[in-house]
Amino acid sequence: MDSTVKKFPRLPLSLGLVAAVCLVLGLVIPSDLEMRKPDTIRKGPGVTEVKRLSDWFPGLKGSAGDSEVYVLDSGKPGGSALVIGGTHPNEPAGWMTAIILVENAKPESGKLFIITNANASGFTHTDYMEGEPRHFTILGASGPRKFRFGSRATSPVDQWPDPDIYVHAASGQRLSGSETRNLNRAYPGRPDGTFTEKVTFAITSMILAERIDVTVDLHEASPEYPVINAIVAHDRAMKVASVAVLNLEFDGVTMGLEPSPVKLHGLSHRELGDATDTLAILMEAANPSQGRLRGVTDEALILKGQDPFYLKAKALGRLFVPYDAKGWPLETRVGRHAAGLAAIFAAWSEQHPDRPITYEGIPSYDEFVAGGLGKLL
Amino acid sequence: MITIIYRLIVVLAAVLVMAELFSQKSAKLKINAAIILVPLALRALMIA
Amino acid sequence: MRLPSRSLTFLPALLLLSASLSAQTYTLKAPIASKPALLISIGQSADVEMVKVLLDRSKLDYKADPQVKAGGLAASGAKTLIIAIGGSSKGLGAAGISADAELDRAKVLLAEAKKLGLKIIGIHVGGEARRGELSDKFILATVASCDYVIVVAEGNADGLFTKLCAAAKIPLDSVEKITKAGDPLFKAFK
Repeated sequence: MDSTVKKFPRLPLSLGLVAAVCLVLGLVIPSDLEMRKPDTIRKGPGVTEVKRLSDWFPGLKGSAGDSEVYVLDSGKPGGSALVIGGTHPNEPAGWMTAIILVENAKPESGKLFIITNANASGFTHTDYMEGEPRHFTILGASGPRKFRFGSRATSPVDQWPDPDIYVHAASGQRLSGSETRNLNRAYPGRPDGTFTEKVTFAITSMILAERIDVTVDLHEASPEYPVINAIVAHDRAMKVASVAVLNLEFDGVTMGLEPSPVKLHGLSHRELGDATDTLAILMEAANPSQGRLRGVTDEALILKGQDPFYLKAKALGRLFVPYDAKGWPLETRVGRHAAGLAAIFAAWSEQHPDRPITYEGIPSYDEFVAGGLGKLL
Repeated sequence: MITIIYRLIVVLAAVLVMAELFSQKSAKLKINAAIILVPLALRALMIA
Repeated sequence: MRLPSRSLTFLPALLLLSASLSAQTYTLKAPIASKPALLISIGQSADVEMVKVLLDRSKLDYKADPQVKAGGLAASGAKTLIIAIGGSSKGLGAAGISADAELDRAKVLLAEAKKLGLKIIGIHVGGEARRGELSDKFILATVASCDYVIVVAEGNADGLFTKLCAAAKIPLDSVEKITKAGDPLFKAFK
């Protein structure tokens, strides 16, 4: 007994502390593991096949980067389009629009490929020190739907360590080290590159193999960022994008148009346009929950986009979008993306009448704004 | 490979800290060891 | 998605219809510009692409060269310069030039256009998004040299265009939407 006391002094305290450590771990671990469970995405009436990125690049098979690709084939002649959601999992209007399409769109001509969680790894964690909620819930027609609010970047569990400087392989462009896990700095990707580069390589391979005519990458940006509520288009996509912007005006949606900078590498609108024949387009909506000026970051901010500090910033002339007490609700942001996609495909179809891309089942912008998002989920 | 080495180092550190937790007489040092164990265990389990 | 309702197939018809129904009167009473026109950008925003669509739809005889330099004006054979005004950091990046270099180009270009006797029509279609520090530099540098200015109302919410045009006695027409900017632009040509 004496030797035990000598070897393990104050044993009850030690055991109590170990129990306390276990308790803390027991509280922390389940909520983290819950983020690794994929969100429920239902196959809608238009879905004809569910593939994975590894179907185009087997190197991803079995990894956290092997995202699902939903195929909506009308069975009728037409063009093909790829909609990318979830490049940045903390930009929910982008991937929510992709989910809405998967669950509701019925293609009438051509073929749609939809990725809802392009950076599936990014959905498994949140950004450090941002105080963001891990989930948010939308009251859908089928009941409450819970979705993850992830990180801008690949999880370090899947790709680490970050280099001090991220050198973009194809161009030699140098960026901050953490950008090495940013999917939208990793195009066109490499089969033997990092985890993130393998994911972008799979997407590029898919576009080449499927001869995808139009690719739209759906994003969000903070209200203080100059390129916002805008379409960014590759040079070859400019004709479609400019007509789309005017089409959107008919729907009462003001959208800016920006050219894809030639020397800014790794981004979808630049590299996919250069590396493939697709017309590469990116769209941005305004999301206060990812901005630097925001206050309390909770589910309400993600869903309603209302923040007193952004009201102050607007009064000081620091924002690039209209901002009032109504904020930027998710319905409005998804509505903008959905209307943007419709306008882009309408412009494409008008300019390529032999290869139209049309679908039904997606409401108008006004219907989204009037609370149409929940009805579709 | 680098991940395996990392996790082995973390597990070794966790074991040594756990040993300290039991062998130290001072309650303060025991509590310190317990606090340090939390992030080490999370790292070893690759919890982000 | 119902293609025909969103499609621009009906844009010319809509423009005509809106013009005849609303019979919007413009400040510019008589055409001032001769064809052909040269469409350029000052500020390198992609708004020039939108103006291109408007010009294509109106079937106006024009060429586009957003980055034309002063030396290229005479060679273009243009009698009218249509300037899409508005700055964009992405656009300047795409063109590989700095804002200061763009301002320098604009100054020399506008002086040369005046020397050659070209009519200059300024058009700002970017609305609120194409205002702010960067764009305003190009607006201030360009408007005073114009013979006629068309602005989409949202971009003139603070009255900057009204003020600049009034000071320089330049006719200014404000339209509600980009799609409505084609009509006064077309009517400015003889």
